[in-house]
Amino acid sequence: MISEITSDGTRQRVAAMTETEVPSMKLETGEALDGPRTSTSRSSYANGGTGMVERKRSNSRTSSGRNVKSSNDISSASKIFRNLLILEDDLRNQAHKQKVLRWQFTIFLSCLMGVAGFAFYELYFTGESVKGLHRYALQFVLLFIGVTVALFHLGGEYRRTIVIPRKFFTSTNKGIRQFNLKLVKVHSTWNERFTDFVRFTSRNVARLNISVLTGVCRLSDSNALVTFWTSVTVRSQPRIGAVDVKLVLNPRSFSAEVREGWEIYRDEFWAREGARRRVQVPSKT
Amino acid sequence: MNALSYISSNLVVPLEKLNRNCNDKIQDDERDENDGTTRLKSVKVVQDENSRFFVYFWMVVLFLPRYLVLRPIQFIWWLICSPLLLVEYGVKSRLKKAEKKRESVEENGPVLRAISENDEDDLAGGDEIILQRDAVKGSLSKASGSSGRRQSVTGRNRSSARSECSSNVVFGTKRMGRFLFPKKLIPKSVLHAERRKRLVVDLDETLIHSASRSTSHSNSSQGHMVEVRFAISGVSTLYYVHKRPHCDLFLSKVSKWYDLVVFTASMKEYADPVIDWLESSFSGRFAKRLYRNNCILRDGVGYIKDLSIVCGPLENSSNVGLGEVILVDNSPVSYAMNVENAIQVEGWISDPSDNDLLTLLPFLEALRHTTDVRDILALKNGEQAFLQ
Repeated sequence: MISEITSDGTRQRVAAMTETEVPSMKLETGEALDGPRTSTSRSSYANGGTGMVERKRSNSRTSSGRNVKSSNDISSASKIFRNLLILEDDLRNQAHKQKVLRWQFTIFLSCLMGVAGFAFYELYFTGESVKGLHRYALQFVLLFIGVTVALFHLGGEYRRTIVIPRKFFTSTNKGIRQFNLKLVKVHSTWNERFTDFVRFTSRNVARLNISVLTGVCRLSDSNALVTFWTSVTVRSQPRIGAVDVKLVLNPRSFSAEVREGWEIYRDEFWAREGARRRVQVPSKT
Repeated sequence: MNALSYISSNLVVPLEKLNRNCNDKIQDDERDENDGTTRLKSVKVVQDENSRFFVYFWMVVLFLPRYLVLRPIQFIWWLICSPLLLVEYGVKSRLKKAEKKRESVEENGPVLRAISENDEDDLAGGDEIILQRDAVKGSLSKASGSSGRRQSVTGRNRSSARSECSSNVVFGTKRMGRFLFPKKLIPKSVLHAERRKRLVVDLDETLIHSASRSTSHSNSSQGHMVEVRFAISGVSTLYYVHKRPHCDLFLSKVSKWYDLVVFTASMKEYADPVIDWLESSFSGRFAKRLYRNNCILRDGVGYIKDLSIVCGPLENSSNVGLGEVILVDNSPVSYAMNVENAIQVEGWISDPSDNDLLTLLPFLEALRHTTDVRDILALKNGEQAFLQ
């Protein structure tokens, strides 16, 4: 039904053919970096017009090969690292969502089981026999929870909300292993956690205050109190970057230089992003 | 907090003073009694009673606020502050250790000093920073012999020392080029575009497996029966088709993120009923179907899928570039022309515990916002990806 894999020799021929064809296809599309694009165009304007951008890009594409890049070219490393950043950020969000999902349903299930356990104990293990309406209520609760848990399991919700989130890292790593990547957890120290907690608390308190001051008290945004609480929200922004989850390159496939470059790129990007966020809000207020 | 302590001290101290005054006055009264001045005595007793009353009154009034509000607040404040003090202590001790280490390294020889950079550089998203290469293999930092200036790569600690001149400080290496940082992580063109990337999936051994006899399959269920009638020969054959585990979940999830295209090396007569059956089991649908006649046949190799066919306009979207096409296939021959666009999955025949499709979901979800999927998918070639 499907085409069969052939001998090694023929496969090599195909691979050789692919190597020559792929770069020429890349020319047609390839979304350039936003930031880099501006810098490239900036330099090209200096050289006399937008036409230079096209020429430079096509030159770099076609003639790049294994040569050293010209200083104005967007290096493939930058493009790869930028896309890795996007990938990492999305995976980080997914990991966070899965963690929240798992916690929510674990708490929900444990509450249910707690109530069920209480009802069971009341019915069968207390010395005095429970009678009347109380007995019926407890039996109903027990049965109701039993049916709910059974449906929860049979409907696949248990798997979706608890089993799959628990295996998120294992499963994701299995999927991305062929690309020589690995998703790892970053454990933060206790004082980092405490700082996060303080930031979280003060951020939410500040938000609440702002909403009360502007919504209930009808104060304007330029009011001193509102400005103060806005500055509190700016100062207590959450930590960004690879604080909980990060992508690492496989040391077997990538040299230390590339791996280190990736770490630098990520840290530098998030440092700039953090600075940008801190500066943006006060300038508005 | 200061205000509270001020109030408490100012209110409590006068009370004590009042009390003391009262006692003095009582002693004076006793002396007066001895003198025998009865008129004055009666007046003073009335005054004393009044002041004593005020003392007790204030003591009662302040008792509750003092012991129920002030003291607990002080205690709670101390509790809140104590971890902060600990944190401060910890940070200071760590800084001291780091300084000691740096000093010892400096004494020993070659140094990695922090990268110098202006604050403005940090904010300008498009600016470039390069780090020259080190003589030591595997390190990014360079010890330039002439100037003796060294730059380190510690991204976070960089801000601590920004004294050096930054004209030559740029991130990157000779081999990898300069590092360029985007202003936004995901560009607006990708985030707000109505156009979606395209996911091309193979059929046989990737999503399903079909066999002409039901007995050959280990699954307990017999599978879906598909009768295929070939127009040329007129012969009809019965196939038992089995879905790969999690196939429906996979298709329903990815159809929300991508425009789905099915590209099979099988005949149209066989594939069409199978695809119809697959479409009936998830909410989305395949935007395009490509069959054996769309493949390129190479002698001795097999059917190769040229993905440039997929880039054309679909029913609800315009052309896309090859950077927005992903192929999921089990056969390396199929994607020989577009190695950088392919995700390989294990071929599936009968294993009921297989979860390859499930493990691909997080990756595919994350991949939909990338600017060029080939940048990521080419990493399967290892370091070659950086040399292109």
